[in-house]
Amino acid sequence: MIEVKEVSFSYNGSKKQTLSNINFKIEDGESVGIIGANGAGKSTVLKLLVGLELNYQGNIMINNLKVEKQNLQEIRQKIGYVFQDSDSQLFMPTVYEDVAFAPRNYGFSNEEVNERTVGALKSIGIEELQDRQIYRLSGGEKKLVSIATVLSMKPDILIFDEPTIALDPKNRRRFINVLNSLKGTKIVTSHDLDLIYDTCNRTILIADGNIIFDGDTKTILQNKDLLENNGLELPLSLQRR
Amino acid sequence: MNKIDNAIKTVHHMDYQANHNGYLNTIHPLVKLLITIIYIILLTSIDKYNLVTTLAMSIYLILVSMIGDLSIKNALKSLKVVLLLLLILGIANPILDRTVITYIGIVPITTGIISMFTLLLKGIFAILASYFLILTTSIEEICYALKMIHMPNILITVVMLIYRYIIVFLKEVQRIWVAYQMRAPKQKGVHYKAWGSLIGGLMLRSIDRAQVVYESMELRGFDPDTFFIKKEKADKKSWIYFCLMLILFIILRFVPIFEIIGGIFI
Repeated sequence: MIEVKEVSFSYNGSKKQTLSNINFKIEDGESVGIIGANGAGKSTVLKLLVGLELNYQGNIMINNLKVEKQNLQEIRQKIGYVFQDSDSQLFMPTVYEDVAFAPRNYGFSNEEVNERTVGALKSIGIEELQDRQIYRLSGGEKKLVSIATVLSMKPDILIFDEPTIALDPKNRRRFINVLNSLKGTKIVTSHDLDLIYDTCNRTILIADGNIIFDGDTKTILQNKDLLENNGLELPLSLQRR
Repeated sequence: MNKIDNAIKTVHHMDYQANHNGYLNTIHPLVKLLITIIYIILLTSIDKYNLVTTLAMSIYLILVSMIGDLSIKNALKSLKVVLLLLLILGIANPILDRTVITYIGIVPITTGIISMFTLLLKGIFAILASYFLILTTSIEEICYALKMIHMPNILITVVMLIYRYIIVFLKEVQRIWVAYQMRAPKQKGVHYKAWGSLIGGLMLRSIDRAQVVYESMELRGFDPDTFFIKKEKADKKSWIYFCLMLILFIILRFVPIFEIIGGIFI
């Protein structure tokens, strides 16, 4: 379970509060979308959850562990974070090596590393890519490999930051199918509201560092006025209706 | 643009080769690191006028290239900038050290020429030995081997991050170069007025990207204080390889094999 209580945050050197006094709770197994205009604070929320920024006020608990320096290793083992830019996420020479990076770092035996790596690749149907060089992959393949790199940690919580950016329609659909097939808690931030509509049953709308709405995805994504007042638009699939 | 592309491809190729399943890749990284260090120490310990022994040390490189299916020609091509630097370093020797020791026809051979060639060969061989190590051992394995010889963690981390940073840096150079070319199609190279802002932008962007890469590593359990790949101890095969190479080095370094072979025919 994730619990964010009265959390405020400003980046170093900035007087402006990026997040001000936000509260939410995410139960195990939920799929939650975080939406908002550029600069609303979506990515900051994600960074706070995984402890990439620790200088926050308030309280963030992940599975009853407070997000603070001494708990980071344990927390990060429970959370898989898929970055917006796959090129930044993938830094090893081959797909196999990249997917095996986390289990190796957590000190698993070679057999366990292999089992987790192959398992992660199989779970999203890309085992044929395992010997490929990263720089030879297409954008869509890189995104799927990025997911595999975090699945090999067998995390309880998966976080996706703007996952469909730069994906063509076919790869986007493939990604959505993969996302829906994954078990565990999922948090997705995106401007792609159709993606949120297809993958999340709960949505949090953030604007200027405040939570404006937290509830059923269909309710918010059909509320044209609320979306437009916060720099967003109805999902394309709903605009056509 | 092609040069940047080629540089990126070369780094990727080196990475790929290092993770390949060749014979030398199966040798324990510690063994390969120790062999390379011993080779370089023995090589640099050769007297600066002893060209024959220096040449004999090339046998190790030929052997490694044959066992590991590595091309010396390609390696020399990749290292041509470094080789040029070595040549510049050695060029002063014939000028400063002019004692004539023999003549080839009417051309006087001075000790300066001999020491220049020795220096050049030593440099080439030492770089090739290190290059072959990198081609047959991943950077993580090299770091692991460095850890085993008690190199400080901070240095190991720096070695690894610099290696990863090279690709990030080159990719940023590539992006900036493309963006510049698209808006300055008639420009040959980069106009001097744009140098400052381009380099400044390049540094800021590559630092940002390097930061994201580091965050990605951190989120997957990377800890600079404890990082190293768990490996089994060196197996029998690796130690046999070590012993054979050590014997070879002793022969090449201390036994005048070329003189002995030459003596047979004279």
